[in-house]
Amino acid sequence: MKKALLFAFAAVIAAGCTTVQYTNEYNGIKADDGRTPIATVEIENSGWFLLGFIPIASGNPDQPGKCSCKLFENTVKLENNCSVLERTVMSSGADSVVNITSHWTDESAFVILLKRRACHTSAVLLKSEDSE
Amino acid sequence: MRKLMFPICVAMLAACTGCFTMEKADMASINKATGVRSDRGGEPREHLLVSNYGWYLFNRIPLACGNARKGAGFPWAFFYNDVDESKIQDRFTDYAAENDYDVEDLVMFNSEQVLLDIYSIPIPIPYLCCYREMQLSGVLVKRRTEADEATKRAIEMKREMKALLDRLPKEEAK
Repeated sequence: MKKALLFAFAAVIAAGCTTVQYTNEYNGIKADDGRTPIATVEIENSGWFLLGFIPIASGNPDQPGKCSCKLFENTVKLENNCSVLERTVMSSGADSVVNITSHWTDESAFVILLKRRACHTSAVLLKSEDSE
Repeated sequence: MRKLMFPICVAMLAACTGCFTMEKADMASINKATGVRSDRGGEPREHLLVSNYGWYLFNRIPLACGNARKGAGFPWAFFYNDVDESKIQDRFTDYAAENDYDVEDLVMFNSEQVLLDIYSIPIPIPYLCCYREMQLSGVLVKRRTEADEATKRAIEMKREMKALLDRLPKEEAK
């Protein structure tokens, strides 16, 4: 019983996760052309891989920010981060997206036996005064 | 067990050596769904992330890197440095030029590890075996025509005028 609980706990800790973090603390500043920044968004999707390429668990991009993961499926892809960004843009009411950047981060445990890969995408959402 | 050793060794070698990746994400749907434009008024079509990493002896001698050459049949480059800014940018811009795209939001990420980790314990000799990684991210936008440029200039002028008008009363109050 203890072993099963420990295994379940480890699985929850190790499972992938998709998160969307955003801030709108701009203190009234505007972009250099007068547009209003709505939010700075940072999307992260991570997953665990055996020997670097066999997916064990990765975040569920359909439910960002929730304790949900996909087992034995690789969802750590740029395409998924862009679809999360698309949904964020649609819900925020922004009319332009600037500074879209992405990068990978890798961490290995036990040399290469276990690898954690994460895809980060960040962007700034802007709204022009004409559309308000 | 002996039968398993060979595939495990091959998998470990594959996982240890460098890897060149070029990942694309379609952004046309963002355009269609939201009508969102990029910073300079372009229509974002694709988001591209090119990355390459490799291992170096004494931080100078390349041991194994991802193969950044176009059309390369073999995914790795041994004793040859392909984790290089110009090679990565060349592949990025080559893809953009081939598909008639302009490039925006070009950002380069570099990372380096000079202490080799074994079971999360770094070997206390720095620069013995180093890891280097480079990533180039950018947005590919539809190539603008002269008419698009004129529209863009008109929008920019309108924005500048509005910003100037907004600033006027504040300056007068001062």
